[in-house]
Amino acid sequence: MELALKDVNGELQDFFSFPFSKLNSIWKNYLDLVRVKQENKILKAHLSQLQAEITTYREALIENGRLKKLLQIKRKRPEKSIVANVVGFDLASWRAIITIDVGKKQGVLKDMPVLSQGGVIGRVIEAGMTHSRVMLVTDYNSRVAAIIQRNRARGILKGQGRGGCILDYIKKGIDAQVGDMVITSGLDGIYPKGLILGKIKLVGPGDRAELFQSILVEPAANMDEVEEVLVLLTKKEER
Amino acid sequence: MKTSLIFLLLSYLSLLLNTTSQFPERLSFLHIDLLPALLNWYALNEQTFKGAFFILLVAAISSLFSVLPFWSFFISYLIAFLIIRYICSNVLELSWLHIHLLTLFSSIEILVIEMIFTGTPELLWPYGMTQAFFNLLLSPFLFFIANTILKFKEQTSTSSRE
Repeated sequence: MELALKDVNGELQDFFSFPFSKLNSIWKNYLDLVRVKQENKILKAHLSQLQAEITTYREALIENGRLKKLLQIKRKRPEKSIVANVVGFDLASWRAIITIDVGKKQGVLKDMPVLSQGGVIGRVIEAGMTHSRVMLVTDYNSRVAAIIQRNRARGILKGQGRGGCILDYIKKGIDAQVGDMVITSGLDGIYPKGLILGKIKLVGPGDRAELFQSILVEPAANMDEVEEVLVLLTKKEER
Repeated sequence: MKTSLIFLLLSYLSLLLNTTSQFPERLSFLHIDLLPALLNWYALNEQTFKGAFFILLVAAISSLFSVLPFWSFFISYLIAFLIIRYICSNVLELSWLHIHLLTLFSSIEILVIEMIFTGTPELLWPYGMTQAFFNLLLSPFLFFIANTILKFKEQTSTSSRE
């Protein structure tokens, strides 16, 4: 009898304790949720911090690659040179002119050639004390004495803005082919001989009345993506 | 004077933005050029002679950001300023649309004169016109900023007087 009563008691206890245990578990879940929310907040902050760090490292890695390429060029060149960062563009945005963060203080003077990883990108046209302006070879006013590397045909590389450059004054009979390298001839007294300017992209017959071929040249460097450049500190007599 | 100072400050910020920002890839020829809209706003809010003096200052600052001569900036800005002054004081009551169309007009005028100075007027189409239409899109945004600053300045000066 006593045992039977104890069983009934147990059942009743079970029945009455159910809502309390449920309430308890809900409360516990709630507390867990609050803790998870806080944890989530902390982890999210941590994640964004890590993402920022990864971006910084990735950026440093890419920059390192670019600088390594510039360093290779620097080692190959006999002249002294200095690495500079591109910090701005010209207000007249149709002109292909950039501002770099080196100037007379670092030995940069007017008409010094400027290279990037790919090859020649332009020359200094204005040198301030700490900053200089560089006219890119794609600028409409840019002219560079050039030769086709394969057959040594001389011409003038003219800037065409976004369209790249054209190699002018190559006579109609001369064999110029797509893919031929165009290099500096050194005859302009600004760029040393043998620097890469670009590749021939298109050879047209030109006008019937014209004596010369119309040759489109793709510059060696992508002018829109240049971030670091190498200024060759050439002396006037060296050029 | 407040209007002129705001014009000077925003011009300088606009020049910094213009010469450092670049759109990627195919749009890289477009720049965020707020100066034509700013000139338009200034012409609508300032007297002619005082305004001309500040245009001279902004032209001088602009020439620091470019290889173009100072005169190219001064002439192009001054012509835009004077024409807008003339339109708003003599010709008609300007609606919201007219005001922003004046930005398009001043953009084209400034680009034409500066391109002539660089010897490349043929670039007006398609480059110049695209830039001018882009400036038109930026115009309401610039007017909002300039008007808000002017309002804020006026409120603070009124409350300090009280």
